Amino acid sequence: MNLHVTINNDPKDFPCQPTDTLLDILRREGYSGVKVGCSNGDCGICAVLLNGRTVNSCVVLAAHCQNKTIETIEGLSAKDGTLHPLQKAFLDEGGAQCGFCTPGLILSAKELLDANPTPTDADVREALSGVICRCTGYVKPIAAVLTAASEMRNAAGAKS
Amino acid sequence: MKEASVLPFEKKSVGTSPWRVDGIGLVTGSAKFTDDIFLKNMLHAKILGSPHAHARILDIDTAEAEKLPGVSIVLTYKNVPRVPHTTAGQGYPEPSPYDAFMFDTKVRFVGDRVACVAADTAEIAEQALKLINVKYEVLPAVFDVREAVKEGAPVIHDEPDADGIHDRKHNIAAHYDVEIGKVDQGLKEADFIVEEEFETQYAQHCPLEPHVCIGYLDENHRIVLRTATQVPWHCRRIVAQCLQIPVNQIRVIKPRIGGGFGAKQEIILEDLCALITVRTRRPVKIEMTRREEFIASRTRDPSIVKMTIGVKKDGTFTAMDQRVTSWTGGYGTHSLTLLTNVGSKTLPFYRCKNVRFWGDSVYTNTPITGAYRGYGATQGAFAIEQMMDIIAEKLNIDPIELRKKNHIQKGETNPVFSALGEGKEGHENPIESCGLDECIDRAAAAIGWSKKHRLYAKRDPNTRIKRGIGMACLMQGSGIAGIDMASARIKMNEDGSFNLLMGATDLGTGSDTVLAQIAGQVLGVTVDKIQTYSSDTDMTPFDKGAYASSTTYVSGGAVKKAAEACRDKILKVAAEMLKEDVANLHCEKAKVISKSGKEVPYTNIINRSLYGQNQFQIEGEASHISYVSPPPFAAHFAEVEVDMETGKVRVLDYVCAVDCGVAINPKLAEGQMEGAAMNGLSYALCEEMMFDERGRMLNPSFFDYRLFTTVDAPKIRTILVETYEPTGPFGAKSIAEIGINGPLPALANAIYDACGVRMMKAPFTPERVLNAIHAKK
Amino acid sequence: MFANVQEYYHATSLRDALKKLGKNDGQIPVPVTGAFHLISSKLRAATCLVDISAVDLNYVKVEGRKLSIGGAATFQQIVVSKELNEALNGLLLKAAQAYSTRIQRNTTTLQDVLFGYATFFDLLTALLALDTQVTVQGKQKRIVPLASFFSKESRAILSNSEIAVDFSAKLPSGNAGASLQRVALTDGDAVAILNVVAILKMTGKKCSEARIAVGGGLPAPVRLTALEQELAAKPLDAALVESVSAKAADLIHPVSDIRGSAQYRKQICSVLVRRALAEAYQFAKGRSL
Repeated sequence: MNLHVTINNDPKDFPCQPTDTLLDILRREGYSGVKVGCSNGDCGICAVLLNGRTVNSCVVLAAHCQNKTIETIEGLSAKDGTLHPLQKAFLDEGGAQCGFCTPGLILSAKELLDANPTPTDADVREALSGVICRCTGYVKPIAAVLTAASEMRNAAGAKS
Repeated sequence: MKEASVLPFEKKSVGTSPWRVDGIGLVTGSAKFTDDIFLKNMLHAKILGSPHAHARILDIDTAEAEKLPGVSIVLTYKNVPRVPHTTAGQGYPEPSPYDAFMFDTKVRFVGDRVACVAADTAEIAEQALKLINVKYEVLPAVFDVREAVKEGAPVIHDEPDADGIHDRKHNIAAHYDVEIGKVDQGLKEADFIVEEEFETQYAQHCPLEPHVCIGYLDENHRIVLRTATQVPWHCRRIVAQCLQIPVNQIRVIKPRIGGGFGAKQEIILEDLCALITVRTRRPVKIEMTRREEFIASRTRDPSIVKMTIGVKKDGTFTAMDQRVTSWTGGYGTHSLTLLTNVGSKTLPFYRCKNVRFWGDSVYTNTPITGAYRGYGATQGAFAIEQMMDIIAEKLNIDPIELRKKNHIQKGETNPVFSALGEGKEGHENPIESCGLDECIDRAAAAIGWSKKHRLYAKRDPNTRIKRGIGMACLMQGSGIAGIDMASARIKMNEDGSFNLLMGATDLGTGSDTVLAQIAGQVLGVTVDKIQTYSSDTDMTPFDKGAYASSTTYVSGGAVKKAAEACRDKILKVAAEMLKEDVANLHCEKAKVISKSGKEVPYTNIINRSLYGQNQFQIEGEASHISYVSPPPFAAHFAEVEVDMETGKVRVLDYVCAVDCGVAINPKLAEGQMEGAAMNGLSYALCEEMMFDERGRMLNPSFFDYRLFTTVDAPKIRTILVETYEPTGPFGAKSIAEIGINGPLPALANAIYDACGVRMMKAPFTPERVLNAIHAKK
Repeated sequence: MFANVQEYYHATSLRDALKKLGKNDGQIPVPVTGAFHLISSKLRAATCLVDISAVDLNYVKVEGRKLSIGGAATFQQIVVSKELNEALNGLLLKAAQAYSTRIQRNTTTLQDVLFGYATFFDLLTALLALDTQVTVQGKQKRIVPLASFFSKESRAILSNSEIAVDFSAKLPSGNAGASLQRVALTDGDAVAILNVVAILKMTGKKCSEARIAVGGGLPAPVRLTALEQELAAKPLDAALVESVSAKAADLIHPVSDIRGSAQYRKQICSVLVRRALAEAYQFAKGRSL
């Protein structure tokens, strides 16, 4: 079958088997920022945003995504390379060590901040709970998300 | 007493926390991990694992599997060279028995290698595995070390060509014992003796990137292994050994790695990839499933640690005895060194004239244990730090006071360092930096120790939720003295930037950044002027690999020397250009500046030497080895809440203070401490690999193997205490491992403080704690 | 897992979905809501996957005292629902959130939970306590108590050609309070070692209605109706709660598994029941027992 989706604001068409997972398709089409962790929906390493919600792409059927919108980590920075505040905050705060879970954490944080610009520490923890990290102990990633939220509020304030 | 904080150098690049040099790739998804390349015509290989914990393979019939369309090759003991080796990524000659074969006619744990199929797709390879017919003779299996050493226990390694096994008949892969002074005499002199036994559990590193390797032939038909490894050179050497080809036929490249923690200090998939690519002439990928990562890669080695300490009323120790029995699983990788590290990182920590270590690492028909952050010190700290608290209580003194009174200090050494090295005699190790007392004081203050300690002591016996506070002191090492060697090369480019080529292996730890900062400090440039390229056995000079907390200290030492050699060449050219004496010149802010006020920018210097006059490539190269292993020191404090009716333990606060010398990159150093401590907390409270009566793992998934997520992670505060280690690059020591050793004892001590129950066995799950509470009643 | 699937069908309406599921043409169609982590065992034989995520079954509403959750509504929808936040002091929100990773909640639906028979969810324990009725649509429509999916005798089953379209319950009126208590190896663990939901409706000093359900690390969640009867129409005090809770351990039949032993589950059952009743009372009356 033919899968029509929008990935990172680009309309795409791929051939797709009914048995393909979203993860299979994304990696096959070159979105290597979406990683393979457990292939069981347990670790969040393959997380992408599907119609704005984080999902484990390893357990989502590609065909289910027909006509839907997908965002991967590759689409987060602007086309001219300007980093999203979350990406910048992860770098400033040291939130990425091996980086394998970084896309999952950042996209989970994006889902949170898109809905809630003033998250508490508990909100951030809850939002990131689906991504397992073994390197950082979560300390700096959580700090990075709070910093990014603050930056984004300031930027929004400055605009208005 | 606070260490002098005057450093013999001015922090320019060192001591700052710039963005990781590889950070942009990580946050934008452009970083390429092993699996992120797509090679045409690539085969996918799958491994057939044994369903039995212990069995002989009487025959394997692969005819049906080979016939399946899409199958390229099937490997078994019948068509693969039989070369005894170890899979342990250690310096040669490896201190581990040569008890592994690519394929043996025996299987020794559920998941052990039986066969390997390479096919056009992973699905076809999986299908083909099902078509392989194996005739097993199932043998009795043994799962507990206490049973495995007994007369009549099934002998796990009876193959005649294995080498280096200590005592096959009793399943003892490795043994070590040593005595300093006279322990029995010392015990007689004690006013009282404390003796306890502790036990730690099977756990897995759970790197989020499973083991993965891609092998292919390059344009000159040499084998290239693109692999998630902590040990590129050991990998190359051992693969050459297994395939019986020269080392120069193989190139190992380490791309970005998604975590290792010791699991990737092994050669697990690379030998297969190399052989398949040689025989099929096609690229091949093998990636472990998460289940295989649990059962068929490597794990923490469970250990039973029994300690006996003789104590005098004045709080000094007359004798210390440590007996260790560890699980090595089906094969003896790291068996000897994991064993001796239990002692070498704990026994020299506290002053005592009479010390004895005795240990066995024992084969069992369970998953292979291997290197895991902490490496024996984790198990040792669990024991000795609880012993300290037990002793302090008997003496009725503050646990902090007992430790301060007895721990090793700057200027001291301990004969244990040379008696108990890495499985053989070690090296003298005089301590030249020790900020432990400051670590203790600052962490104690941060958590509110004295107030809370007194407050919780006045507990209401009837409250259902009890609070307590506990601590642990730790010591690790920085590299393996006299064994670990690293080298680096740095060359200059026209724009005054540099290429730093080093073998040092960044597994996400940030070593590329830290080492670039060291080079930048020497050369007077910022980190963005240094392009790092690391861990390629063709292109970068030798490095032992990332383990034993050696990268900052040993690899950093090599980078510093190489940068200095390069700097000396820059100064020499500048001297020619300025017509001044080299002694008047120094490097700063990408220029050479003279005492006379004259200066010349780097760009002028390098352009002259590449293109202008007396042309040569400005570069420096150096190797480094250290004959000491200066320990980082740490103090961890934990505040817990114990629910007396359910046994649930909650960590309310956790403070770690660490002396890692000068922190080259403070944010990265904190990150190491935080990640290690969180892993240790998770290990202490909920991680456990569980097995059924046939040796099959019951919980090989993240759904059932519990580890901390953000909702479990307690607040952790990190304090970096600066000292100056004269033998380390710009005063640095290591930090990578020490943090994981604190939680087990700090939590156990805190739980005891809360409710008078001492946890001798980990993990402290609600059920175990409740059972201990009931047992106490 | 997917070896036999040849077709992926996006149903445009419930009728369309049921027609596809009910077809008798040698195919083995199976309903899916998009992610398969809970229903992978059901997909082995399937030849056609019928996607029901767009057939208007993803609602979460409270109308008066009637709570309705569509079979394809996600757990996350339950967590963010304002109406459910206010109902029964947020019991269902807490219960859904106990599956505490948002990523998983974004794709977990009650249809999948029931179809895949994942009985450990705290949300199921809560729905059981509320006497939830499940509307099952197949060739025929039937309304089945949720409890019957968990009973030992003549257990209700959701077949491949059916969809659990609606989960409805009546929320108690008046001074009602609810509590969820759980013990788990980690806070992030979807499977509690044991979870308990208690709902109390107080009329003056008396408990006019009591519901106690236990689940998590049990083969299936159960109601402790014997204890509910003991509590009903009696003046409620700490002593009564204590004596009633003590009996809870004997009313459950846990097994030993990797998360805990049967003995431990029994030990904490009484503790959690007592705590759940105490907290439910606190919410109902605004003060403690």
